[in-house]
Amino acid sequence: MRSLGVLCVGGLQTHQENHAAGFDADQRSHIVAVADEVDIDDRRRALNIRLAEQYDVPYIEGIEKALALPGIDIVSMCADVERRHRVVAACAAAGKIMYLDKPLAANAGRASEVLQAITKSNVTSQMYSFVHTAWAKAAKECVESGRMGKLLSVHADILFAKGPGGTVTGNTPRRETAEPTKFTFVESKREFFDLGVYPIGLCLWLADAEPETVSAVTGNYFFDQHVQNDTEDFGAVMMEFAGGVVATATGGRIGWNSHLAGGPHRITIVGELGTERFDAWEPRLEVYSTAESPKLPPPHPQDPMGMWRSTQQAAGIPRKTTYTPLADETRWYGDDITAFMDCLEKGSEPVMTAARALGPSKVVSAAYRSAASGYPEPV
Amino acid sequence: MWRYHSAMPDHPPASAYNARLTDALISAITDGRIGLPRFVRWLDRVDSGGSIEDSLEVGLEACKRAFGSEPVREHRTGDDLLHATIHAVWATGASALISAGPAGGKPGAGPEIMLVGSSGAVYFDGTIGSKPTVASAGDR
Repeated sequence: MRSLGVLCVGGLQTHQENHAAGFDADQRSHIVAVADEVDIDDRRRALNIRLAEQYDVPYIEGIEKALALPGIDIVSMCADVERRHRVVAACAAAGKIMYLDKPLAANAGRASEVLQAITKSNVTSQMYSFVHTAWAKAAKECVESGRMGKLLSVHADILFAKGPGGTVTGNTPRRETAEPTKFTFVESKREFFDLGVYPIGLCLWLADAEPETVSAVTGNYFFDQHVQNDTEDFGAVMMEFAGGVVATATGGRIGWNSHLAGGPHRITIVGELGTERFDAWEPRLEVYSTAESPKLPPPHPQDPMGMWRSTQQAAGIPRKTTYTPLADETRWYGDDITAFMDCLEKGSEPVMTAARALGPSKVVSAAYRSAASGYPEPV
Repeated sequence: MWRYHSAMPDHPPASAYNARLTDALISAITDGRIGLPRFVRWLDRVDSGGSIEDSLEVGLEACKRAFGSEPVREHRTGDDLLHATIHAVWATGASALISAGPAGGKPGAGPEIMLVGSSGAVYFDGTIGSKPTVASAGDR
């Protein structure tokens, strides 16, 4: 297989930091350029340019201009989610293979537009997800093996123990917006929108279906920054499928001190013959000693929530030392890209295609409606 | 098909175990180490012979104690025989997902709990291979 050229849309302080590293590390791909739309703010442009400098490739202003470069086979898509749908549509129309950041787009309608564009162009696509982690694959094997009998329910939690939690002062309910439009801020982001897509995606993949109805709540439980930006830091959703299967998912950011590792990352499979749990941090060693425990340093001014690898390193956020899981969670991004390149090499279909990734976006949109109305909502 | 059996499980009465467990959770809150309690994930594994309904009730009662009031919103799914889940929301915005399903080959495992507060969290993974040794609610 020849090495495929990758155009990175978006730069530092996006997941492109991880995606670009994955493509750069894989011998079957190489980065050709970094690009974005012309009409972006100066901060985003500067961060994009820094990623291009990191890989010693040109930065191109304008998506059409970038797509005209020779040698581009794949687009790694990390455009801001508010405008992601139109950038994906342009790249898919140019016939490029799409590696997509999650979620597909800002809402279910725009995610449908993304899928339509990709379907029309018949290009291979994959959205980043957790389906290639060892613990998620073990859960899938459990379901497919039938050893739990008929599947009754799936429960998934993906909560990030990052950021200086405990700063929220109120104890009042969040007033949710049925159709949020703004997701990207420096100080915070909509965590259920951004992180909830992981556990919801796992639930739909494990149940191999999409739910009909959801009941959801979002909250401002931990961070004052999220209150100030009117963004939720937590969300929980219950999903009802045809045939009686139920799934529940939580997604959010709970604070650095609220977990001994990266946060609760767990799937529970309930079948008529029993219940099994799959945890990202199991099996593990637990190390306790007189050595001083790592402490969260002052937040990075451009990333107080500790979202991005570059700013985590710049702020000196230490690695937590108590849990030593036998699995290497630092491989999750790399493993997802390896799986994507494997599919391209073999001509097989990725697991989390854009078609499958539409489901989580539909659930998240319905969950916002439910959180706003206080009632279950159809998906 | 999973079926209930009439044989008593080989662990202490569920009521004593759950009462002690709930007391421990409430103590963790009142100790002030996790801030305001905001979310509970209660995932019970019900032994053969046990009741899904009773299990949900125990979980819901624990959440009521944790949040200090009755929920203002409840939505329930599942069947009443093998599995069920309650999504509950309180006036403060706190919420809970309370689920129960078959324990299968792990009798006596009891509930797994995640209680997330505004500045900390409590995790309880059940008995994890050992057997519960709390014989009554008053045992220490």
